[in-house]
Amino acid sequence: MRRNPFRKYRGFLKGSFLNVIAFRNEIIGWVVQDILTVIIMVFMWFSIFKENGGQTINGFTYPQMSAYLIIASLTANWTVNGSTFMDINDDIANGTIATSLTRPISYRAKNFFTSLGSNIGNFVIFFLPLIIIAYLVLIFGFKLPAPEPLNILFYLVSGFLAIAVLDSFDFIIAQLGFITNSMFGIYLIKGSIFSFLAGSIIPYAYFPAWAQSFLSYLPFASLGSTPVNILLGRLSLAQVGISLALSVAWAIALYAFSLYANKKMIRHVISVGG
Amino acid sequence: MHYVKLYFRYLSMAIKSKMMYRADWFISLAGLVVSNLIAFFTLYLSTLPVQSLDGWTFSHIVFLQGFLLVPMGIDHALTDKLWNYGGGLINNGEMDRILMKPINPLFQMCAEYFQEGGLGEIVIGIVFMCISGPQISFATGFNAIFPLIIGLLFSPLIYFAIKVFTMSIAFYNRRSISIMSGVYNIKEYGKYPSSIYGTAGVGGKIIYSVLLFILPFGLIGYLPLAVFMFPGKEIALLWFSIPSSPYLIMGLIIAVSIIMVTIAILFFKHALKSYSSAGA
Repeated sequence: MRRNPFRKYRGFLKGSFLNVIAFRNEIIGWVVQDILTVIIMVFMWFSIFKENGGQTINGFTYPQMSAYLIIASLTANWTVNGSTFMDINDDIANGTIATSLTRPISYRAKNFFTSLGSNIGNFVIFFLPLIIIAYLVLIFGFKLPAPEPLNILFYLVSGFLAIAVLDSFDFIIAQLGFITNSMFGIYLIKGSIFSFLAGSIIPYAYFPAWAQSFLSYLPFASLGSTPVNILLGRLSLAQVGISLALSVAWAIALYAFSLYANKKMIRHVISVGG
Repeated sequence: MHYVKLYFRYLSMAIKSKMMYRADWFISLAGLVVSNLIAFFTLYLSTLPVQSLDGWTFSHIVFLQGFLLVPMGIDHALTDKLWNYGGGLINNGEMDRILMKPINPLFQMCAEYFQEGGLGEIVIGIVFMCISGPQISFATGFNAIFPLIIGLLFSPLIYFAIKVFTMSIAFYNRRSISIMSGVYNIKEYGKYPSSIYGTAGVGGKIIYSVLLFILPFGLIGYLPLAVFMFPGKEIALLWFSIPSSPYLIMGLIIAVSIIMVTIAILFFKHALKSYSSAGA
């Protein structure tokens, strides 16, 4: 009988999940900050729509735009908060990568499951209550319709694909830790580039036409634009299918590439460890 | 005088330790350029559909954002290490090392690190102002520019005071970085002309008041530039308006920044008494 290959990673998933629960008070400061940022954006767009005479801009009314910004921020709250990047950074900086590599498990998979645990932790304690509050505001304050059950399901699938895509990106970029000490700086730059290209700051509809068609095929779309548009019901069923298929393809391709990067990295570790 | 001499000693040490990682210089420079380009594109794409926000065109807002980068960069370059103290250095027992030396602790905390990224921000800010400057009209002459620059030199103290105050909370509960970052990032509201919030209902009024009276980020950029770029136009505050006088705004900035720094340092001293060694 074959043993379940995921069994040995379950501990990592559970550990980081409990970690988020234990440190929720520290995390809440960052969540409050995200909420404040969304409030600025919503007010800024209020004045843009007001200046425009309250008409639709690029297919968005003011309530729809506000919903987009709020959902994009909340989506990032659970999908972007993986721990892979900083974990690898710590492993490299403290030298604990050597012990990690001696374990009879895949370093890549260990990082993925550790990170997934904290994503799920964030989902449970921050995302769920906040999305309910957000939808109460959107439905009663902004008079928007509630999301359809099918879209909620697709949204969750899309969100987990976003985690898979981003985790591989993080794993690959974290290799830079071998050549620089300012990983926190890279982490911030990466965050701002990704959220812009993912359409989390401004929807793709506002980009020039050439950029729109270009961006929607890149992996960044899976991180923001795709899940948000799905939940808001802005995509037809066929479009949902195509976007999800693209996300799956990118998730697999980037995972394969990150395994390759891992192989290269191990060689580097030997030369560093001496 | 002693402290000035000491500062340059600290500075040369900080720069030497920075030289250990050459790639860091390049990465922090690249990061700076990229994040500012993204801010620029975001602003461009979002204001593209409209002519102006409350009379401020795209060029006006770019000028405002460039202008804001200068005091922020000054503060960033000189006092960046405070973030690390809020973010766990106190917990690691670093504070014991600081308190051993017969030098002002706050001075040591700021001086032991030099963030070259701050200089980059100042340069990018000037570039932004040079790009957008020719497209807007503004007051010229000594009486417009002198108070603007004096105000600009005092306003880094506002950022500094907010950082010192929020960092000091770490003396009570070991870490304060999320509070620090939360309060500090309210500065993002100041990147747009503050008056646009005043028109957006009760919530907007609250933001507007916080920005101008409680955490006076609006005082750093919006007020002096409103006077500079729209001379003669009265500035409407909540229920009253103030005359468009460059010297009045300059005086406000000087007074507010000195008061804030005084309060922050008093709080720092008070909080330091509650510090108990982490036992490192």
